[in-house]
Amino acid sequence: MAEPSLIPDDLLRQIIGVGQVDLLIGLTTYQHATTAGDVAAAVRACWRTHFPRLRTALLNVDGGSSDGTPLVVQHAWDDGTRTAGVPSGLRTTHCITSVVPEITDPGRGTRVLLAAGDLLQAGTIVVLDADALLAPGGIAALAAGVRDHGADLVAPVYTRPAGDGLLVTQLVRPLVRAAFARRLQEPLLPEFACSGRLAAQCTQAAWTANAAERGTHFWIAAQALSGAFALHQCALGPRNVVAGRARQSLQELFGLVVGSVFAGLDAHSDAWLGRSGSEPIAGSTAGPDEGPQAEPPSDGSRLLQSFAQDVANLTEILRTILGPDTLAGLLAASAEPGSAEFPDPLWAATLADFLTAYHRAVMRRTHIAQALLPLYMARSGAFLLAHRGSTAGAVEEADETLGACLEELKPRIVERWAQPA
Amino acid sequence: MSTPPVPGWYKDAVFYQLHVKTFCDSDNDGVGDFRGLTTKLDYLRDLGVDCLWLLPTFPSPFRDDGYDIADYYAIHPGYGTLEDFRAFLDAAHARGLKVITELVTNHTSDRHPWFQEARSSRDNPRRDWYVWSDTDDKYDGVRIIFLDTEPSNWAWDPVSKQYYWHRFFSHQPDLNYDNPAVREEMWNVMKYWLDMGVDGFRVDAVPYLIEREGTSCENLPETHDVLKFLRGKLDEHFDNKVLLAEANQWPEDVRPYFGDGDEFHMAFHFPLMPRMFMALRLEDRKPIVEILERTPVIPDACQWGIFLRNHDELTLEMVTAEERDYMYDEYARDPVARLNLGIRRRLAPLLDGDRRRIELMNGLLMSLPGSPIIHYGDEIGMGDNIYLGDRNGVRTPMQWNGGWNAGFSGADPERLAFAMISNAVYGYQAVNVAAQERTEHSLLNWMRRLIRVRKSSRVFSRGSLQFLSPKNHRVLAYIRALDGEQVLVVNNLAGSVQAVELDLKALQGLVPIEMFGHSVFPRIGEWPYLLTLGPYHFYWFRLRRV
Repeated sequence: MAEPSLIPDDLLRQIIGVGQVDLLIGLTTYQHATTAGDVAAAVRACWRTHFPRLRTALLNVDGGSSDGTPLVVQHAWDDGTRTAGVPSGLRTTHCITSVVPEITDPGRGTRVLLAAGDLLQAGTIVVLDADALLAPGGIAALAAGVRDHGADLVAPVYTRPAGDGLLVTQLVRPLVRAAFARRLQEPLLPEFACSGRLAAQCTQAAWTANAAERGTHFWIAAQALSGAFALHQCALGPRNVVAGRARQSLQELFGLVVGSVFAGLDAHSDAWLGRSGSEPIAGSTAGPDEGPQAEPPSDGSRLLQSFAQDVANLTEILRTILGPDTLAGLLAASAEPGSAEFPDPLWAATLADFLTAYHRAVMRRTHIAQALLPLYMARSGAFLLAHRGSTAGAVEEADETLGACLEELKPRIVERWAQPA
Repeated sequence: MSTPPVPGWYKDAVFYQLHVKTFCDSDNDGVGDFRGLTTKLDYLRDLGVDCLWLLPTFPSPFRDDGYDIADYYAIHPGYGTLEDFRAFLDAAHARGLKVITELVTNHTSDRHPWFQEARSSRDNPRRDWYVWSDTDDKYDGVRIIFLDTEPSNWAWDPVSKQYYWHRFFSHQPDLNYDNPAVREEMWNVMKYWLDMGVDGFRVDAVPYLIEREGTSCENLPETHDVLKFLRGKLDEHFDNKVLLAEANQWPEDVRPYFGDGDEFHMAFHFPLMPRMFMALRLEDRKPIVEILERTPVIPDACQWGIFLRNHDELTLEMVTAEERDYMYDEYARDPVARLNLGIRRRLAPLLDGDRRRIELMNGLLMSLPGSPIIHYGDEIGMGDNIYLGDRNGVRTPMQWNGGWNAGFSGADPERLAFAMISNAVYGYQAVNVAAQERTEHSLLNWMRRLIRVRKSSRVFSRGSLQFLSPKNHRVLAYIRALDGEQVLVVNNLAGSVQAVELDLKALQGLVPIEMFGHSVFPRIGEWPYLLTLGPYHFYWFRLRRV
């Protein structure tokens, strides 16, 4: 059955009115009235300061907010145009708002943004996160990666405190590094820039991509990593996530992330199975945050409390997913009461085996992702305990070690990939 | 045949600016003259213009191409005699053409007898006809207009050992209008030429007549006293003359020069002109809409003078720094083309010789509010020579045919006042009147047609202006209306095909009839009116109830 058009009629009319743009800045929102105005104001300031001559549009795809989010965006944009005494700029500016009900997650909203960018023939598309406030200079830096460096995908690099973003540093990043042989720091692309060329590719490819794959922005990274696209990374400093917004539970988030990463890797395996080692990606890196380290949000020991019980409960499932040696290692690691060790090689093997199991669909794929969660929590707990008080530099070295570990298991992944379910 | 004067004729007129020096040379000395100009009056009549504006033809040392006047009561011998001028005037009037000349009020040449007398001694009766100071720090902070050549607004006079004030070149000392004798004499100058039959004056550099400490020395209230004096004298003695102000200022600062209908009849709309070029390059109507929405209402008997180019550089004084940088980057990449906060290029080279863009810009010129002024040669798409120095590159000889000196002069080419344009693109062999008269679809014939269509309705010259705001910002659309007649003008500022939906609900039931081909378009209904336009195309629709 043909998928309904991504672009509703009212959005299409607005796109026709705008015509072509050089720079499209996109924002998907749902109940973001408290943050979206600041984001729109930052976009406007970025345009006036850094790109005053470019044909620019801000596109807000809203999932049907009941808190007035689209109006907040529009007002913040219009206020910027009417500041008394400030020249309004050379060009007509465009703030396009489209309400597309049922789009409440970023991945799906981004599909609309990229499709609109394709129609607008945008040379550069920047996709922002409505939950975070990126300074005008940061927006400009993302766009500059495409405009000035010729990149097709510009991924952010954040200055992360030790222990922050473990789902990325312990799971997503090393998997992507091992698979695609590229050291992409933030494969989930909380905010990013892409070329019109990549947007066109994603727009076409997304029609065939499955729903699981489209849950996050990873499918865009996967497109870029798989094809002949130039990648670039851009240091944006600390990530300024706005506090107080309702967040998904860890279980929901984990399922979404792991599901989209596994699905994406599975869909693009032709591109990466033959690759080995890993290469850095051009651009600036953030460097470790050597400032005073805040206490990690979670207590490592608490995350390890149910490790042994979880492994015991999941043994039969794990026997189907994991290789015998991996399972043995897991049983041994969890057997010691209060054990706080989950070594890198074991975790790397666990990730490798889960990935191949997902590909081979040894069981229902959603169950595979669910089964990984308690193991991830144990690994996170062990990692936090092992690096309590460590500097950010030391943590970064540890992340590098894990990545190298998983890289070395690439042949194992390739071998198991071909095995029948 | 003379026609009875029409009150406010200047509101309906199409003006044509020309330089006698470079229009037509009858005695083959390399310099155009009035006898030569007289032989071209039929051409000008057939073009469809109504009023000729002549650059200065007074005796002058020509250090500023005649704007440095040495005698207000004569004609420079190079251009002919007073008799030649009178004969030209009569011939122009016989063809229904009016003539306005320059009135350079702000300054004279330093060779003018007035200044020669004034500087001879501090006690000379004419001393106070100019502005003197013992130091050069009076009126500190006043901007310098000719930035590229003048370091100061004061120049040292070694004869009388004082500084004299000059807002333009140092060889053009400013007259002192605080002196009633100066005002009276300037009126005498005006009356002299008006008695001879000229139809008015383009008054040069009006904002700078008066100086006061602690001010910008521009647009001062006392300036308007001077102007009201001159206008009062004019109205007292003559009917149906026009005073056209050159005041390169923001629209709200030009407004006072109309007074309450008791100062200037017309004033140039300087800020609109660069914005037309900006809008074209940006493919965005914003610059044009913003400046016209900012333009104040003027007295009913008054009129704006709008233009694309003139004898000076394309001035970028009345734009923001950002806009100026943009214009330089887009229209004057060769720094030699830049002069005095402006760009010294003609219309066609500015538009890369693109016939479509030339037509669009002329379409805007003829349909926006104001009386249009055509710079000589732009009707055939003449080129320029930015290497000629000062602004002479846009004042090169008129190209009449592909023969000897383009038919401008029989002199040796080396003797010409300014060299002919001779390159393969804009040279006189390629661009000339004779060739275009032979070609049905030439730019010249198109311009004739454009002027004819404009003059077919007074809505363009006297009508109101209402902008439409379609979502497509590349389309500039507006309605001109007068006494129940309405014309819809739609311009595609982009180089690509455009679709536009116009909200014409208020005009429901009217039928648009395209004014060039008289094609009938679908009746306006309640739904948005869809039009498509080719690259740089425009429509003029007369809206009729059928």
